[in-house]
Amino acid sequence: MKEQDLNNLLDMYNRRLEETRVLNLQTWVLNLENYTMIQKQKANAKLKSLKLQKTILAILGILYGAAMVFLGIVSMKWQTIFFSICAYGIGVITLIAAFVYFRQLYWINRFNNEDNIISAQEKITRLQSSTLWVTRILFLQTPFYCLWFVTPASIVNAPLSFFLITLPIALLFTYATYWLYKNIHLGNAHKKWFKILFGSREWTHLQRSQQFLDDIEEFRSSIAVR
Amino acid sequence: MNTTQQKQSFLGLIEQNKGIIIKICNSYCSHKADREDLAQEIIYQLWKSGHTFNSDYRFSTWMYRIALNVAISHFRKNKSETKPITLSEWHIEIEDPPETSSEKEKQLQLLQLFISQMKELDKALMLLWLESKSYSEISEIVGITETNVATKLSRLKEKLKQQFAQLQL
Repeated sequence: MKEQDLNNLLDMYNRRLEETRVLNLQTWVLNLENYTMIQKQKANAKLKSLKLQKTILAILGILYGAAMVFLGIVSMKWQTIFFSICAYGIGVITLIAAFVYFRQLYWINRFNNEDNIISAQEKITRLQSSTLWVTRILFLQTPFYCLWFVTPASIVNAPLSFFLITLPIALLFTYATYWLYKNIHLGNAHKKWFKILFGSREWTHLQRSQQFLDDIEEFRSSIAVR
Repeated sequence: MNTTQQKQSFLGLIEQNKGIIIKICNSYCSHKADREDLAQEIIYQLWKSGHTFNSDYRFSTWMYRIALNVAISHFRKNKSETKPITLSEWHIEIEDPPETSSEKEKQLQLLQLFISQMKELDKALMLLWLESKSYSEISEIVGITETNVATKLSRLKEKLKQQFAQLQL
């Protein structure tokens, strides 16, 4: 097909698109008040629940994280060194996760349909895919929950069975944490364990978000590619 | 200005620019009911954002940004529920179809199918080009440079030509 033929076809397509009978714009504009009311209720309910959920998680995270850091600091003695380190570790990780929730709230508040398309779509897509980030961070706490009860005295006096049970469990959880931290990314979204971990609905949203982020990147950088 | 006057002036603006709303709905939705939902959502978002319109921008730039952002979000939200699209489903319904040869008609349907298969952002670019927007305005709406707009559009057209060539049309 020649350039001119394509242009003519596109022109014809353009004209035809405008002649469609699918819309009744006038009626909708005249009914705007009713529609506005319904949409506002729907949007408010949706946004409020999302904002409320993130706010509660962020506040709880800060309270729990701060309490754990405080516990870690006040219990910093040789006899309770494991407890102290574990509390401190859990606290810091929880505070980081709370910060991510606050950042998500900031993104939600800043989202604006009037931004240019790339910028607006990128904001909303990053918000969706940041769910993965929180999960990865929170998994890092796991090994600390396996060791908080250990004391230097218990290591010295404990029977062999203590080491045979506690140590493998702690090592296993540490390895699992490391493995999950390394592997929870959208490159593995097609794998079965990933789908089980995130549930099919969440997974679909995440996969679509990542696909779209890739499209945005490709769209931006396509000049340099060729 | 009271609500009735506001509505009348808004209606005027919508009427002047309805072409793009219709095009966006037709390009991002294959089913009639979806198109209507999307059009309503776009009009609602435009009405809702009306008071925030910044007169430093052109009205059309502001409108295209909102309409395309709403359409892309709507499209992405409903993507998984969309069944595979057939050629006939994408056929545009019009009240008095102009006389065209069956060959031209087939080409038009194919063109619509090819455009519908484009990625969301490519489709937005193509629609703005069809609206005869300048590269400068397209770049403001989409958020890429003018050079990038020109290159992307030329590639999209090249791809369309190849798709037709593959079918030997």
